Amino acid sequence: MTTLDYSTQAPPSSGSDSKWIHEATRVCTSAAQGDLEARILNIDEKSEFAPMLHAINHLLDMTDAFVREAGASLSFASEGKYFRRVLPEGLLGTFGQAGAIINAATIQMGAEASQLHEAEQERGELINDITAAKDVSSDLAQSTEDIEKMSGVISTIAYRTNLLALNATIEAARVGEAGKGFAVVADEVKKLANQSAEVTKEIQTNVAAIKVASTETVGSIDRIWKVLDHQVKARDAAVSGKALDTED
Amino acid sequence: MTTDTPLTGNERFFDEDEIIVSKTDTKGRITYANRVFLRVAGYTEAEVMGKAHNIIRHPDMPRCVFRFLWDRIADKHEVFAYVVNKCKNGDHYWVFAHVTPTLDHNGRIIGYHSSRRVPSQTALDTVKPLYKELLELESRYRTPREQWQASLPVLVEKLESMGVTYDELIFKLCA
Repeated sequence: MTTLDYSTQAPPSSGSDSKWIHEATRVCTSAAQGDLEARILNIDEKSEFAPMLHAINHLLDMTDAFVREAGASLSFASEGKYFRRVLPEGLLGTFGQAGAIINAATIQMGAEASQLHEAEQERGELINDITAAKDVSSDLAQSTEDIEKMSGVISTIAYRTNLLALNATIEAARVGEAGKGFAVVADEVKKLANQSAEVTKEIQTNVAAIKVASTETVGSIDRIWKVLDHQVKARDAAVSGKALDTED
Repeated sequence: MTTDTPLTGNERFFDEDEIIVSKTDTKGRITYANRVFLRVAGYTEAEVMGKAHNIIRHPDMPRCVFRFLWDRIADKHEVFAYVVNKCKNGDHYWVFAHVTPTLDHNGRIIGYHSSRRVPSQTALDTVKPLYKELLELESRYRTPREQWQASLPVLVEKLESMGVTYDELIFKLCA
């Protein structure tokens, strides 16, 4: 590819007009290459080129101002600071319009970031609640186990009480008439023991149902917790610019 | 480098669509001034080229403001400030200045660029009494160093009491 590099051509030695044309070419070439620093200095106001040379400087000043403004605003936004607006003063026409577009974008980004922040806070609270619910449900599971154990003990007591009542009935029969009253008492004790056994059975049936329900609850809470945890990690990864799978 | 020309108390203005542009080398010597700069400050290009930028320093500017700015720009931050400048004939003009370091390919500071725009009235209403207070405090000290060392904490404290960073305050004022 052949490019004309005016900047390395020596200025013609004669004629101030040629000198200004060379200066204009040098500055415009640098600008086209992305160097917005160069300006034409010591412009000879008597030269017929003076208005053109000033216009070139002015164009460069405006372009430079826009590039600095846009760059500053967007680099602040990339750091999560959305208050740094492109200053509209002095940016005319398309420069101003582009600046307004950037400002609208950073305002929108700021609004979305604050919504995201609120959602994050809500999710944080939700995680706290879920964690608490998780603790409560595992406490519940523990209590159910305890009730199950206790009802086992009660069931054993009922069984042995029943045996005792049976023995008492036999002993009462052996002493004949004198033991009649005692036989009535033993019979009542036996009835109570049977009632206890029945109630214990009911308790055990209920406890079994509670156990199934609480296992399901713990499972659901666990799944919800995992989903939230994954979302939080994905969000953190997105913010730090890393994909999830590159984390480990 | 500030000029001894007596102040006239006369304020100059420039158009809202205009930007005053100047560039300096790392020592603060002017390497470029645009036509708006020269017209408003009342100098010719030849008069300002190579001169220290504080040729337009106005005595009403508290030292701590410049100190604060230079500390930040040395960290390669862009800086903003409301500044009153002095014209060649002793007139003055208020600007909303934006100063950025110009970096080379290795990220080294090779100069400074300043764009100055018309300041908002809201900003001037806030800044003028603040500068007056800071200046009054500085006037009790003799050396420039003593002056900014006394007033800089007051400026920082003011910002803290407003609960905003310097940049946030600037953008609130110019909105």
